[in-house]
Amino acid sequence: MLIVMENTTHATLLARLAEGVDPTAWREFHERYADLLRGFARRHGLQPADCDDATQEILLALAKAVGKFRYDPAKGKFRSYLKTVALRTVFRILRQKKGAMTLELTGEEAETAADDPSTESWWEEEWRQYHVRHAMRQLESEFNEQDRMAFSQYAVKGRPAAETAAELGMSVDQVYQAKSRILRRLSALIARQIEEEG
Amino acid sequence: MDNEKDWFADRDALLENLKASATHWGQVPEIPGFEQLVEIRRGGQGVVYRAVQTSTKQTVAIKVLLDSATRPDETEQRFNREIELAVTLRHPGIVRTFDRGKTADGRLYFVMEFVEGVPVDDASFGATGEDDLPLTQFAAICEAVHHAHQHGIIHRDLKPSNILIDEKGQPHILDFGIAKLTDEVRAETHPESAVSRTGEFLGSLAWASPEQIDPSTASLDTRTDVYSLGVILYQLLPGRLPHPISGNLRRTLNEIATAPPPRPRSISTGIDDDLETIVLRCLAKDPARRYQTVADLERDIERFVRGEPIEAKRDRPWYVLRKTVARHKTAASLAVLLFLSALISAVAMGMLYNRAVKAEDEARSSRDEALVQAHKAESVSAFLQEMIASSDPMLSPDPSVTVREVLDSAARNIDGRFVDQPEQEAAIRQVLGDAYYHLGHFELAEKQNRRAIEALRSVQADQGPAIAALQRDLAVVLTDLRRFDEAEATLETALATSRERYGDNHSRTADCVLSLAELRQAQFRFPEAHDLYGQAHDIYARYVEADPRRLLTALIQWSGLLISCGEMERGEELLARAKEIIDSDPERLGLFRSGVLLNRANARFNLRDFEAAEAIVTEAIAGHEKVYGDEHPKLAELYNLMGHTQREQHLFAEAETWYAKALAVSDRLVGRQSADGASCLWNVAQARWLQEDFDGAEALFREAIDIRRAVYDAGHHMLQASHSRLGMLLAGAGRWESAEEFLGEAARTAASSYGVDHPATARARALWAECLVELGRREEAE
Repeated sequence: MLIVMENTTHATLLARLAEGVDPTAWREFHERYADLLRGFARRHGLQPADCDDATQEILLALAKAVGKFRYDPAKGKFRSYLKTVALRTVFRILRQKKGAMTLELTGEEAETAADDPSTESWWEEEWRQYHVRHAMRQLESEFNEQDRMAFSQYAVKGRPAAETAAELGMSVDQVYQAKSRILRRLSALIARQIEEEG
Repeated sequence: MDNEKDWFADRDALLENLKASATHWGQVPEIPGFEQLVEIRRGGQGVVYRAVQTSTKQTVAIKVLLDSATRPDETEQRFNREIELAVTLRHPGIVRTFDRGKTADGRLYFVMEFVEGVPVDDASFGATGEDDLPLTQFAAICEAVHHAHQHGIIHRDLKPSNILIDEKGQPHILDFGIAKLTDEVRAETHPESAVSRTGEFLGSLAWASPEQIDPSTASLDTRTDVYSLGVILYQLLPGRLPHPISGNLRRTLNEIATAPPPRPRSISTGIDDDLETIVLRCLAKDPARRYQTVADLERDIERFVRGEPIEAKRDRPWYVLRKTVARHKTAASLAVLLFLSALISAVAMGMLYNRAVKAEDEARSSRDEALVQAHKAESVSAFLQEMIASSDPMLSPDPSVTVREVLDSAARNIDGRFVDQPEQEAAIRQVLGDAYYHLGHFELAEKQNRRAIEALRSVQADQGPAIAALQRDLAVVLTDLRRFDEAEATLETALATSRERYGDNHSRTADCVLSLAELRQAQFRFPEAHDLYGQAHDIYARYVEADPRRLLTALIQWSGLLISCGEMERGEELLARAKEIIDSDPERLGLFRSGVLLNRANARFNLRDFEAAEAIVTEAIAGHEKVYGDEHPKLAELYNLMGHTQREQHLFAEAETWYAKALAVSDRLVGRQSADGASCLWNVAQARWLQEDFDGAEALFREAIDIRRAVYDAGHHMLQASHSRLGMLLAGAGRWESAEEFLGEAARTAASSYGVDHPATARARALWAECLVELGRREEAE
């Protein structure tokens, strides 16, 4: 089984970012976390354009922090570190807009929000989806198109196995197997991603 | 989170996240018949696409529900039903729903009108220079919501992100009748995805009503939308949420359920008092204390924008008085206007709207019912307003028009006007009956109550709770008419219906028990009355959170009985409990304060502790004048009690002054020719008598008795009592001729109303006989 690792593990990516000179690292980083951050910002009621701004700002802040402090995994999970940076940025933007009619979290309420169960549940949902997306991208190079199509039609979209099999010229058994293999692999990939994250 | 570590190891959980991820940022779905799909909005429930309908080239919006591909059949059926209902809504302020269907991969979707606009939570709402624009927009939102309510559809998830403002500033409400449904579809399809549901729930939490977060609430009604609109209005005013959603979830839930929102004026001083009243009324925890319909809220907003008195303050008569004086600059028959205004808010709002507009139910039949109720409430309210208008000093040239005349003309107007609307007729007659009752016109009240029951019976063959409520009202009137047997029979029917329908421990049942207690008290069957008050009290005590007013009523009446029976200590205990309840929510319950003080004063008075009684009455009067000004029926009662305390301290001239003040209030409010007028006049006469102006006093007594003869039926206990009391007074002063006239009358009426063997009759006869003896008419005396 071909496993593409290269320099894209979480730790090396952070290290490359810390160097501050690698434009690919920045793009990779953006690709990896932008959707997560945009989704999180959107849930706090930011408008789409503001979500994009927030995402940029968060990533920038993170890149700077990584450069300065050499992000230390021993100090805590990357996951909660990113959440803190994201929250701070989102609230700052909300505060700026407070002159107009803003809603939900503003001002001093922001500080307490980090422990808010809603914030945590949003973060957790976005976080999981980020891992799924990231692992799915990895899968693209590991499974052939037929298997991936079968997985997508049968497992994700919920079409009947027989129908999927007929359409893709596979046996029903092969459809079941595709689902089972891909899920197993996905699970392993995510497990590793999370482990790497620290 | 417990499963944080292993969600990816569990295949189902993993698939769940995969689906969410795919729909979240994944490809555009295939929807047969539509093309050029572009994602425009994304929420926890689904994704909204702009699309072009292939056949018509019309641009539409399509909302695809997340996670709806695998779902139970009944979920889909319910989705279809709700959408079909939403399709019937046509209002410029509501985003139209056209159709529904399933995407190629089986997810549910519905097609809507495409509105170009931004959600209210984007800065556009209220950010313009024109002061009234946001309020005008808000009123337009209310109008749209009301339109949907009239069609039996409740939104249940009104919040800024569900309202779009177009470039002309017109609001468009999204997801009417569908908002919560989409949530539920998701929950039913994926009951395990608690995380996402929690997220959704929290996204709407700030606008959720107390009853929505209470899991024991069986059903929601249109007043839930009133609450959410109140939150939106609140956001407009001080610019923040009434209950900020942050920190501890449990605390937030608790705040929404129980904590009163901070007064907007305590946050930002520039907010108008009336506007604050409106918003706080929307945010009342108890739905019964809110605007009962969104139309009422809308009208108040419009009134406010026009500078007219708002309805929310109508239950404070002084307020109307002030506003109306400002508008009309004439005080001609304000008393009438005032009385009716108070009546309409107290009676119409409380009694009618309470029963109206309960639309939240799956069944069609209850939607129809909601429709009927909505129309009913509206036409009743329109009729009553017309009635008020007829007493408006600007419209009515006759300044001496009395409440009684207005009611009589209203009563005449009902005939033939509601031929096909027996329910409206019943509702209006109930209001009129209540008005007559409070004026002391018991027979007219009885007539209206009976006709209300008749009207209702023409549409409801069997005995139901609505008829039972009317019967209870009738029984109260009959009790005051001293027709105890009829009262008892009527009340028993009502009580049995309530018990059967609601059980022994329901507050409706307690209402009947309370009325029965009053009947027993009137019959001088005090021990039974005492037990019944206790029963009613115990039932109400369970609902004290939801409705402290009923418990207060029971406490005050019960204490009244105890005090009149000489059990001062227990009476005062109950009053102390009542005071505690009032002090816990003085804003809402302050109206009961005078009742408590009055009874406390009575207790002190009965203990012959006149100084204490005087102090309490002084406090009560001050409080009352502050709230109502000097125009309120209760004030007459307080002035009279003040007169009594003076009289008992032998300050007869002072007593007369207070009695005269009471008489003046009564004259203004109900006119001299009334039960109250006669009572007040009687007191003045008595004070005059005590100052030994016997001739002047006797003339006044006679005037009072003439009024009572006109007001009460022959044989009425008041008439009987006043005859005998005056007779005794005159006899005591040696005015035997006059005394004989009244004592004889008293003895005759006692015999006919109590029966020959009743102790009261015997006593009246003895007095009369004594008098005849004094006059030397011994034979007659025998």
